[in-house]
Amino acid sequence: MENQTTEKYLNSQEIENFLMRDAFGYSDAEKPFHLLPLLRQLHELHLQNSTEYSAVYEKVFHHREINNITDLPFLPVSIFKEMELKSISNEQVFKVLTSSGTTGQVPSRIYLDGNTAKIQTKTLSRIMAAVLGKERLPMLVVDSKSVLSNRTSFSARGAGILGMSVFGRDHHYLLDDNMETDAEIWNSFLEKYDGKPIFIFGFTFMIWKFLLPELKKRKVDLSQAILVHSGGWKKLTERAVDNPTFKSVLNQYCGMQRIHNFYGMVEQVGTVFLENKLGFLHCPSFSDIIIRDPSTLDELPDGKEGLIQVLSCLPASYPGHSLLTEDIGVIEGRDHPGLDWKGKYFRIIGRAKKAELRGCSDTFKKA
Amino acid sequence: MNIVIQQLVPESKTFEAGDLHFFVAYPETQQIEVFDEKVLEFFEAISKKLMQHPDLGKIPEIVALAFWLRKGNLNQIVKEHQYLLESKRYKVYPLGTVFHICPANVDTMFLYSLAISLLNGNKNILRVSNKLKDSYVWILFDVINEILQDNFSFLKSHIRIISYERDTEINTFFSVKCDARIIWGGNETVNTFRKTESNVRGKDLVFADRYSAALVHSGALISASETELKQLGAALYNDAYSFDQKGCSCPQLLFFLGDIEENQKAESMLYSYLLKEANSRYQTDISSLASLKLMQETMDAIRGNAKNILNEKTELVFCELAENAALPENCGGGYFYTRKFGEIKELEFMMGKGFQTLTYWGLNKDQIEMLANVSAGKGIDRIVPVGKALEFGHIWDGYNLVEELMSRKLIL
Repeated sequence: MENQTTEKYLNSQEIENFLMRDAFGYSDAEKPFHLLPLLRQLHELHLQNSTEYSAVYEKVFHHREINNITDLPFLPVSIFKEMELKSISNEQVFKVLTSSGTTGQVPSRIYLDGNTAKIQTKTLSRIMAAVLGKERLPMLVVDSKSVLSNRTSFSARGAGILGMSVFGRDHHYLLDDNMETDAEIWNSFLEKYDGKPIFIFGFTFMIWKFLLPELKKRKVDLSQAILVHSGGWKKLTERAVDNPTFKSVLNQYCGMQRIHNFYGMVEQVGTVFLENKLGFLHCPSFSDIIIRDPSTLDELPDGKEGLIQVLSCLPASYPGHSLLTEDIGVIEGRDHPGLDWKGKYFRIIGRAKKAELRGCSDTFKKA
Repeated sequence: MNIVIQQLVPESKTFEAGDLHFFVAYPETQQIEVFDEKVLEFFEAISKKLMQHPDLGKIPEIVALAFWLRKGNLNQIVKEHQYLLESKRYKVYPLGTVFHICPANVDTMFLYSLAISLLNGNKNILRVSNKLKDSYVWILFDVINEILQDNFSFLKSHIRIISYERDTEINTFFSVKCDARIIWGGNETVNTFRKTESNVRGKDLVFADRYSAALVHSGALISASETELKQLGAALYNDAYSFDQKGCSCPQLLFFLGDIEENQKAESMLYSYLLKEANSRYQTDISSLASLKLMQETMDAIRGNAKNILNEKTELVFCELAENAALPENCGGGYFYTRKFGEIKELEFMMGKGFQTLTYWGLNKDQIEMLANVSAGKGIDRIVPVGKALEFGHIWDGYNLVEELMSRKLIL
């Protein structure tokens, strides 16, 4: 095969045409015809440009033949915490994304060149348009502006907010620098936009902790609002709040109806999984998920719980197009007749437990 | 803030940091002698109780412990050390008070440690990990308390099992007050305790991080019967998986001894027999293992450590080390680094100082002796058959614990 580079891949007519497609337009049957060739090109690209990826394909996957999407090798998502993986030269690095997830953990480091960064933004906007429409709406961010201020060490939270901000206008930040509700901002936002179409963004727990109390205090009409939230359910599950409860409580207090959770990760920025009308996460055209049996790592049938593998046609500057996450999930269905969106949809059950294999050497190890 | 010490034996009770002196005050203690018959009876009673216990009696580690604590076995140890009592040049006495820092992973270890020390007549303070909270050892404490209550209350001041959060002050207090410290728990724990102030005349028995290996004779394996292979699989499984392959004595390395073809064949046969065991018996959460092992495989591939990886299933991974790869840190849970050898003397370069136990299978007497000779001056403190990796003995990591925990008075 001829030399494949990030630049060539991302500037090809093929990917350009592909990304112009409707974000949820491919049926389950037709999607592989379009997605597999691109994923194979990425596979070749990374084999040629990342000795690390090529070593893993050889040693861990024994050079297995790639006839289907399920045959593609996958890297463990945590590998980006341990190693610098990229398929571009140092000079081509345009931006390094980092995310630490939980405090105290080593952050992932994702190396982007200009082309990859550009295509991520473009793709994200195509996916977000499916819930936000084409027009940019006034935006309420349920967070503090201060999480954006330190640009050199961006938190995942900051990066998420910044990434979403481009889809809104006239941004208002609900919280002040002390992480307390800024009543003035809230009042002025409502004065302008109560009852009007707006875009609200924040982390799931922050919505519950900061926005909900305001809605309880004062009657507001958010029936035209669109809420997009992410960040996981761990803290809310502790309070016995699941997704249906979350949505019905918000609806009860402000009439909000369009509420979309999403699942995404810094290792595959651009291709996020948005919640569909059935309350499940939906796979866009540009990416795929596979549920794998933790023992055999083989694909599991729909309805069976296993580890989630995520595939995306965007990661060209780093070998992140096929990753095994530590999340456990289940495919709930494909091509639901009652949905406008085609393709697979799934649910996340939770995170795989951290393996706690205790050595002889940990009587007094720091926690 | 007042640090709380939780006492588990002789009865469940909590103490504040200010009460520390209580643990080293021994009012009207009935003295016990070296190899005291009453101590043997005490452990015999525990052993019986454990064997009969409806829950504990089914756990392999507990069964092994109970078997080891039998009077018959402890008498064997006493007999072996009879020479200590018969010397004309010296007399032996208990050393005094021993502070045991017990490991978190090998839940039963504290009792082995205690048994040897108490057999010598010492008073004992054992710090057990507060990570043991979910473990069956809590029933073990109940069993000990019950027996202490019945006929052995005179031993109460000799056995204090406690638990507390990491705390330098408490560590120092016991380190200064005790005559010996037995520090299980590997490098970090050893270093922590070496840095604390301690009794200048105190004696330290330290157990650092170690690794262990199993060696199989490929020719013997290939020609073994189905029954023998199953037994090998089960025995190796017990050695390795009992403590998620993270105990010092659990084999993390596998050596194959034979010609190239034999080794190749033996490797894949052993893989399938061991996998059968792991598939049906291993209980550790498989999703967490999948991530852990894929991560380890990926890193080994990238770092050039791997020559070849057998990874049919998550439960068992064989990663053959590349020629010049140093031994990587093992993730455990059924992840083996393998190496193939043509002759025993080629093993020499693998024998670092940290090498603790070599279990073998299919070797003859001469070959075993050759192994011992090849390792002279290097690592390896134990050479035992496969299946016996975890069998505790009073000779451990090069120490004879019985001799160490005793004081000798020279009399001329």
